[in-house]
Amino acid sequence: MNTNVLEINGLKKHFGEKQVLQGLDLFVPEKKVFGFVGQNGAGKTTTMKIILGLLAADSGMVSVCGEKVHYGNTKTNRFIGYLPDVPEYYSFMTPAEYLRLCGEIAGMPAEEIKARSTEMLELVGLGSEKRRIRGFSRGMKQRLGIAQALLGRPKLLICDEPTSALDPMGRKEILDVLVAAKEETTIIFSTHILSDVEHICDEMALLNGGKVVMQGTIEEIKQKRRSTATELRLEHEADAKALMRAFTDLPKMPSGDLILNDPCKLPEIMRYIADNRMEILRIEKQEATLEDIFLETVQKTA
Amino acid sequence: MKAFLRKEWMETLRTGRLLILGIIFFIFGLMNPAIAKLTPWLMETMKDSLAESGMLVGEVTVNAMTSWTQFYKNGLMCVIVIVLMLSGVLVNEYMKGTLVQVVTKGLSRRKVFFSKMITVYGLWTLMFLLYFGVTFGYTVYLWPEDKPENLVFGAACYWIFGMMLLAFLLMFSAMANNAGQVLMGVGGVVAVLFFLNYVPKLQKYLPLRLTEGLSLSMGGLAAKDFVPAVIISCICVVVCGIIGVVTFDKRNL
Repeated sequence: MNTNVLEINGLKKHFGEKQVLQGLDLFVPEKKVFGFVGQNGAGKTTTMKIILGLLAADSGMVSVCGEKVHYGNTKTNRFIGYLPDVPEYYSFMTPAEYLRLCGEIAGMPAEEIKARSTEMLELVGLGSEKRRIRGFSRGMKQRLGIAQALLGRPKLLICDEPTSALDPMGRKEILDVLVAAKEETTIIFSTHILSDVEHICDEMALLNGGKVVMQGTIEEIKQKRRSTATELRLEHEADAKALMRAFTDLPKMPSGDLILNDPCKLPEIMRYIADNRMEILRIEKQEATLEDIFLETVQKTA
Repeated sequence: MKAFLRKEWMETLRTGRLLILGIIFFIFGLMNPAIAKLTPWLMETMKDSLAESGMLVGEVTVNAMTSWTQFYKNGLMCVIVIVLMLSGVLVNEYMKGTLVQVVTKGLSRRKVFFSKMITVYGLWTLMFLLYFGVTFGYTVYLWPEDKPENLVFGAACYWIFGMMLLAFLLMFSAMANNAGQVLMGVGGVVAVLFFLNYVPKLQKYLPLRLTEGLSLSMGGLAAKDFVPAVIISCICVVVCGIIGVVTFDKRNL
């Protein structure tokens, strides 16, 4: 049975007048890539900082691998690897020197630091980089961030919007590295880029208004909102108009597709099309995208 | 903590901080006896122009004491330089966000603060030794026969004064968000000290007394007159340290 690496119960946090988290509950099972999705300002970074003991919560409970998280010096950080949204390093160091510092801080044996640093730098494509970090691009810094986060074989890897500030090439590189890292750790991946979630996540939680409004596997979430609508495209415009006259609840989308919301009417429509010898270009069941679900949920709870 | 301390020294070396401080303190140290030695010559060259404005320059005699007088005058400049150079020692890390990674890797905040403390105090001690050593060596070379008394004790008092200000610097660094706030805090402490120094009864307790080591060699004050100020300064170092550690434990990184 899968256990939860991370459990959050009733987490609340406010900044001044603004209530950022309003009783957030979240459970992250082991060995999954978990998408933490929400608009900018939804409270993703705040939640992550509380998990890391970098921010104090107003109320609620956070536990990592069964141990409670405390603000300030929290021991639970030994289970966690963290990649901030814009990672900053000591620019006067080389990547290998920085990883050595991280390894020593984490209390790893010297031999292991050496072997693991080489392995991680190879994984993120910085194996041959001997320059100091000062001259690194954003993508290179992000990749080094993953290397340092994975160095100590954490049980939980927290990535705060790792792809948001990158170009398509850099994004792909990071996603590939995360997919490779999936073998050894549980990953929480906060983002507002839904295609990235679809690409690499097993499960996701949708954060809105300081609460988790939806959580489950990507398939479950899509299933919940699986549309029953059917898209219909006819060859000739005149046929489409005739069909719309015959069936009133068959709206036409800007793309030219006719949308049928009631599936019971489909046989009747098909019969009409056959009787009138209309030519069909396409007939397809509509699939809900994560984007649709996201927008719909955000609007509903707004 | 060893790892983070090594990072501190690597930073001090690679960012050129050690080199810059070394050059400045070396030049300051060298200037004290050099200026003393050059004073008669300077007076001689300016004699005529001074005579025109009605000032008569008599025989100027310089000795080792002239050099040590300069040592105490320039000491304050040294303190200002080190405070300016180290004002960002912690706040620069908050501003860049570099501490987040090391803290989330499991390094305790206390170890971070103690490493910074060791680095700051270590640098000041090293630089002050350089400053004292260069002045001492060159002064002995120029005036081998002339050896004022209580030189080491007087200099040690100055070193303690620097330690006290750096303790305030570290404490303000735990609270502030930028180097400007740290400098304002340390500047404020110095301003308060100068203000309190107007009260004669307080003078012997104030750390400012520690900058008057020259009086020890000239015979104005005795070593025991410095004891209250030394004790007060040491208390400041300890109290600032405790407040700094406690504040840093809870601050937002």
